[in-house]
Amino acid sequence: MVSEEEKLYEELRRLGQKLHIPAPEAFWEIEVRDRSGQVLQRFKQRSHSWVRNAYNMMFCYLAGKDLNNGSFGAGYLSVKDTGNVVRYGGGPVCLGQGVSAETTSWGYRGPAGSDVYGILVGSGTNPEDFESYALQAKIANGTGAGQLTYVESEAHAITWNPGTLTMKNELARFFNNNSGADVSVNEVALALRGYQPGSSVPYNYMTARDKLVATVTVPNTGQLKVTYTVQLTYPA
Amino acid sequence: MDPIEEARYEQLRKLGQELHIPVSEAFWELEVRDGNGKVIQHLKQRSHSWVRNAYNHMFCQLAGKNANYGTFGPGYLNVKDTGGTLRQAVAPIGQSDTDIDGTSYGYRGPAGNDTWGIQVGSGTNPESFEDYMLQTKIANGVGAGQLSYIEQDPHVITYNAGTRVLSNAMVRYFNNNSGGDVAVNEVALVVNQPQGGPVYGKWVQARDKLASTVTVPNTGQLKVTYTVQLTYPA
Repeated sequence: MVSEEEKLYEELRRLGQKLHIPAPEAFWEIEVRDRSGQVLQRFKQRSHSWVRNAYNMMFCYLAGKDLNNGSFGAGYLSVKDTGNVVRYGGGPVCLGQGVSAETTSWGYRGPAGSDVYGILVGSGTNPEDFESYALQAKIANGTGAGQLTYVESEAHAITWNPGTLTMKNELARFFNNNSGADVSVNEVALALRGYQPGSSVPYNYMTARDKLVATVTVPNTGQLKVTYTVQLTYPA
Repeated sequence: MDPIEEARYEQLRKLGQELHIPVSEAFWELEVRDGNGKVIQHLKQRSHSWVRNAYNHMFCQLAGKNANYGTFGPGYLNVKDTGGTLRQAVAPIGQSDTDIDGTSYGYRGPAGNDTWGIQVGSGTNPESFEDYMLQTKIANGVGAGQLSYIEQDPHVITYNAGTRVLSNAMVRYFNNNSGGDVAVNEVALVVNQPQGGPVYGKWVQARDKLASTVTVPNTGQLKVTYTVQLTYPA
């Protein structure tokens, strides 16, 4: 990660802690292993790209506000699902009604064999865009050419650092390549499964999409591990 | 508001916008009118004091995580309700599949109800990150030291296209028919969460000590505005 940029994040974190303004941060960690388990490629980068969906969801919880504008864009409170449909109604986005958000039925943990929510990977190289609602070119689940097998997301892993007063949540997902050839990954995304605002109909909403700093090549019979970490620094 | 401190908030806001980190801010504004409608006191200050409940709320939603720890404090995810009871469940804090814009749930307190929404109090304790209630809440009513809590106004959302700041202003009026002056020194924002209502219930998001005492004269009216804003990168 670029050191000059890291200094800015450190400054932001320090100011947020001093001024009692919560400043969440997020990171991606990518690891590729061959069939023998040898690590071929590994890097970590910041997630720069909470998209409009994420900001709108955050605002509605901070402000106690329904997401009830029928338009999507600057100044409107709504979300756009991964199918490019604006969702709005009498409520915020709900990660399931009266049920756990930590299973693979709701929230950010994708189930085995599903490429519709959870951590998702793609081959697109478009720059990040605040208005994104889906990966540019999602890599589909499967064993066909250019596909990866999406494994069930790992359980949330929460850690607390009492020295830095930072709470972290790690979400990891594995992807196996049984396609017969290399698969290139250039973009990653996090999508949740939740209700349409004010209803009990579930949809999938992307909250972050990042272009990777370098192409990640998953060899045939190899495995990709993607870890998304969100953290929040507390003032006490 | 302190110009040096304001410069720090401005720096934080710019950093957040540049680095695509959502930076939220909140403000209180208090206005007192006498029985003739004349403004006799006006105060605006930053809300410095999202409490632990609010941080845990934000973290749960960002991470898609349940709040299911039985201890309240650093490293644990849950909330403490206004009665001091620890609330945690197999669901995220702040979950709602129903309307939170109205006066049944959310932040808009209903008429005659001092248990949630914008609340006022007389306590002078410093702010604490562990606060879960006002130090000394001013009760709803017309007795000595009481104020009548009016139904909170509807949310007012504004967007500044130049600064890319989305704001929500919440207003609540309080009438003094107690027969004497009522001194206000603290304010709080309390949410009434619907999802698993019996589980999460009512909890404080923010409690601030006022920069100076606000005195509401008999037959006067207090208007409290809580504004929360988020700066968008685009």
